Amino acid sequence: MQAAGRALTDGRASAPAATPGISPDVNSTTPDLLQIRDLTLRRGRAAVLDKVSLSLKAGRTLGLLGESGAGKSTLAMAIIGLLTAPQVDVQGSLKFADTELVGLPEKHFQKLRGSRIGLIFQDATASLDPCFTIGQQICEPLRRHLRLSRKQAIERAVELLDSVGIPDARARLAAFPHQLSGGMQQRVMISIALACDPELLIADEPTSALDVTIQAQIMELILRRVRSLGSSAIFVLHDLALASQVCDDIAVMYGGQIVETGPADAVLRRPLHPYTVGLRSCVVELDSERLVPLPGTMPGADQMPDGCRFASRCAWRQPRCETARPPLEARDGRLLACWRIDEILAGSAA
Amino acid sequence: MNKLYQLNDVEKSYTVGTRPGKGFFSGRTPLLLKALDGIRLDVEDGDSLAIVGESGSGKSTLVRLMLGLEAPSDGRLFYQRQELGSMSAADRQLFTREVAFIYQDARGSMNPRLRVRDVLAEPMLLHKLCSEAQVDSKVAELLNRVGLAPEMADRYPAELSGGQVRRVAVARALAVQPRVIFADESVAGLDVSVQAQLLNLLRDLCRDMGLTLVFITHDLGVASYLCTRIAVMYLGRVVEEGPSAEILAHPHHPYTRSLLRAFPSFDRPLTASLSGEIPSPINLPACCRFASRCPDARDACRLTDPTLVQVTARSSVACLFPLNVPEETPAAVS
Repeated sequence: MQAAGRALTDGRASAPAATPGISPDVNSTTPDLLQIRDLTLRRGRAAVLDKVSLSLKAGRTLGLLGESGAGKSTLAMAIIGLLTAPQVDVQGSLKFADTELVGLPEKHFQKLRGSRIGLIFQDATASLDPCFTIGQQICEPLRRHLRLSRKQAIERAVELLDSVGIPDARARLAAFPHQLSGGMQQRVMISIALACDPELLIADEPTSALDVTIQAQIMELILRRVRSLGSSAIFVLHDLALASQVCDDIAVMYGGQIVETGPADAVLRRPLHPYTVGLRSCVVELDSERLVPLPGTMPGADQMPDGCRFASRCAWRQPRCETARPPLEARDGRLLACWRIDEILAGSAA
Repeated sequence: MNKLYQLNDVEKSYTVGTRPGKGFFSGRTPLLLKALDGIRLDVEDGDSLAIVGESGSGKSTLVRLMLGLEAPSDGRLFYQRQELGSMSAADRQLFTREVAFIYQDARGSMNPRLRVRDVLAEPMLLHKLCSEAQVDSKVAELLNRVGLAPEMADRYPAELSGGQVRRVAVARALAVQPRVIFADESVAGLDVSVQAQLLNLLRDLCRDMGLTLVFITHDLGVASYLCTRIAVMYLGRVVEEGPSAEILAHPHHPYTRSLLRAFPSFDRPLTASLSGEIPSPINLPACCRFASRCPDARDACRLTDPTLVQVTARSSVACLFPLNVPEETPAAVS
């Protein structure tokens, strides 16, 4: 197994890794690690994801932003094939390296999950099994995917716990999840997710249940580990300021569609889509004078209009917005889906 | 100004088992968890105070004491110059009307079998603030005040969205025409759009109705947006207290500075400003509590326990080597 070789050598720096700390430039020669084309996911008749197209290059971090119900977590779960109920219908293409993930049999998915794609969930307390020790849970992917012996797996588990900053790692192997604090549990989750040196890490709100000081520690840890492995990461976040600190690229979702995507600097510092602008003005900063909340709420997935899904809450709305869906087009160094984007651009330049 | 709350060296400790190990005292000496240790705090009428700190710093315990849900183990706690523990039954009932609480888990704090109308009517009827006949108009007025449609009165809490449930919780707090509102992490875990709506609602309500607000949060941004004063807590102590603007611009305590640095911002890179986690409140050190995590800790910090002292005209700090202190001596300033 190729991953096994990588995991056991310490020469991880030899991988064509991005320089830690510096976000790599968009390089057209770097192959896409993940390519999503017109991904549509229906639950019954409601389209929870509607023609989502995205690509993620190796070594880059992508942030999915939006309100609850925008489809961020659904997209993350679809990538790792966790939405396989009979009433869920997936169409389109989801390519990870050279593997097409849409329609991939569960048996093959199991070989990807935990080895080439790592996962960190929001609620570490609920994701760790309360009946097994930390050691057993870290050793499981090591033994299953990397075929390590018991002894090797334990040694590697100690190394992993050490690398995520858990003091007295060897003694902690025998601890049960409830004996650790929330921050420590999230560190254990990270070490499990990164146990097999995955090429892609998916983290769904990894720090929203933690204090700011612990959040900063955990995020820095994830970034450092991901960069030293040269892996890519997808973060599902609701905190725009945090996203600007940890992501190279941003995709803003609304009602199961991508409305604005591009480099984090452009999208978050100078948002253009009315929805991104609205989200940005809701963020509490240390010097906020007056917040301007977005009016209204997102329509339910089964009540989505035919035209622009954001139209009902948008100040720029005009008749065309309510009848036809705007295409995702390149403007000002990013992709945008808005009929009135040229007028908005002209206005912001003036 | 009229002092609404006055806390004098309030302590709260819980017994958590007995001392382990061998020897005569093992199994006999109780192990004490000191959740609050010498809290000195005043809340004035019309004040808005944010209590900020990490989980485990004692914020919620402090509020439980101020609400009279628990009695302090030591020290004295006054509400309008009356000690909370020795109030007469009539005063106590007035106290429960004047002080309202918005729970952290708004949905969990409501009886799922009561409609919104009944959730809001219960406190009003209990305190005889209106008659049975007036309830419907009062409920409509409350819902209007928190920006909800009057039809919401017939819904059950389970039928409401997260933002709507929190608005109902705010309406219920307003139902008793309180003087003080306590809110525990009332905007945590919400979408930014809903959070912004609620923050504006709370801010406008407090300003328009002249309410006193005590807001518990771990988010310094939210604290400074809503409140004019901030008290920063660490391991059962108030380590810094002062006007929000001063604390944000010139923090005096290294812990406050670390909290500020860890706050996500569009203009700064990610900084893990503190290593480690808040230590256990069992067996507290006799020195400065923050010394084990403080980047500026010196030898003296590991020997002396600093007390809260005034450093500028309106702020106090518990640190032997406070930051951003003007040249004049504190006495000259005051």
